Amino acid sequence: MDNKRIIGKILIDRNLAIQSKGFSTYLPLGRPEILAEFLDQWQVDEILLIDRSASIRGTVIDADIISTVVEVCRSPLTVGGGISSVKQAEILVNKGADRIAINSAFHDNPNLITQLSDMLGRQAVVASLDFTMQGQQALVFDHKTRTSGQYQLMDACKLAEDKGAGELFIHSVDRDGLATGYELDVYKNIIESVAIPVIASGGYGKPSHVQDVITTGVNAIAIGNGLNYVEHSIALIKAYLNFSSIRKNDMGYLAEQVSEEGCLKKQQDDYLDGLKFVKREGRWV
Amino acid sequence: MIKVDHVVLDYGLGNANSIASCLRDIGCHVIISSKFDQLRCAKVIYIPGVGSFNQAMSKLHQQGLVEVLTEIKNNGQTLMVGMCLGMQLFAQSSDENTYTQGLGWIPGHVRHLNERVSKKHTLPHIGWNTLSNQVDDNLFKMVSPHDNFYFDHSFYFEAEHQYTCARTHYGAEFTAMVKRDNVVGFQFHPEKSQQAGKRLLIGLLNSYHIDRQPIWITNE
Repeated sequence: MDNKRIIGKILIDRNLAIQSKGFSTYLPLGRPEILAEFLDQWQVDEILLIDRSASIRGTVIDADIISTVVEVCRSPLTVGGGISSVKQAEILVNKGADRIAINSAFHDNPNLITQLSDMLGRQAVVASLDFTMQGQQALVFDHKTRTSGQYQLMDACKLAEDKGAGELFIHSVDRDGLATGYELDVYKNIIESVAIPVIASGGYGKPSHVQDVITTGVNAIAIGNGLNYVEHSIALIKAYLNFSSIRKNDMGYLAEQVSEEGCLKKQQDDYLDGLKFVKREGRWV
Repeated sequence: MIKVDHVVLDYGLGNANSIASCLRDIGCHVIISSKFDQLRCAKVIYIPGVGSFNQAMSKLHQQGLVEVLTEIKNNGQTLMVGMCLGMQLFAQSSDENTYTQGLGWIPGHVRHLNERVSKKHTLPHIGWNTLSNQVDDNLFKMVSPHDNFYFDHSFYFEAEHQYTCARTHYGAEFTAMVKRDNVVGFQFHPEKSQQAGKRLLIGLLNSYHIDRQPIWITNE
């Protein structure tokens, strides 16, 4: 089976989970381990935990945050934020990260990807690239200068693949937090020219956006802000899409119960009355 | 020295922490250790793995763990559980990076998936997948055919048929679980597979009659 993943993205700044809009406006959300626990309970396919400011501050994402998240979360965990050496990556993996995402360090030293995949295996290395659109061109966005240079996104993707990255995490800066849908053409082009899996990110607003971006052939879709304001958000999105290529959730939602915006529709009163006393069967094992 | 039944091997490579947290969820008292005496009195040793084969083997050799683990395994009193790379280490050899000899507990070799999987499927194989052709009823008592598990690998263990107890399908069919007497290996990450993973681990421990605190689970 060729399963697509829906990834919950948790952006943090030091030890606070935040919501980002266009990489310039930030709102606080709370403790990252609480968001992670919810996403885990709602059966997200993977969690991406990224420290936005670590590379700017010149530090690495706090390993203690990984420990607290891993204590409550049984979902696969990809971790990023200021990682610039193999030693740092090893510590994070030991704390419970399954995969390591590299962003700024890839610009300074592309060979780090090779060193990481020699040590941790290719499957554990994710190259994370942010881009902005200038006309028809997708250009790589640099966090340190906060601008895009002349570096083509496509060239960066190919370089990351050649250096040994196991997956590409491609995030649109323009659409970050706008909820207007994904940059479809960019993903289509990348899929055609690389052989490794691609994660699309930036722009989720409603479940049909996921549907659109899946048709480009990406392997995973990352959602950030969209998950934090609706109860059981991941389960509802999966129920709405009802695709055979997306892992089913066993929370009992049906496609017709979910609205276009990915919220639960109001049920009839007699149905709600019937839910008052539901006996949950279980057993000791 | 504290005596604990469940020991997660700490050899400097791998996500020992997440295996330990998952085992605590299902009622196991667990420590993370590489001390020989603690390993010797364990009932189950979990070998984690997020890494490359040659690096993992050289770390095991450096710490003298290869001989100790093989001795414990040969005694037959301890269940050896390998996860992901930990399971591949049971093989005789691997082609990852360079040709490396493994622990050799289960006949077979670790090969790259691109030898089997068609070009249409991207590699590494990352994502959730179901198991097929399960042969051991007791072990799989608590999982259903619809349960998905988290895979994250680019190499697979081409184990001999009689030691393969579950397979999975991604472009081609390959080994997902191996079992030989007191050695059990998962190609996927049961500790990262949410409820399905926990149920599989409970089934494994029950089938080997290993004690843990019972936990309450809701019926499917």
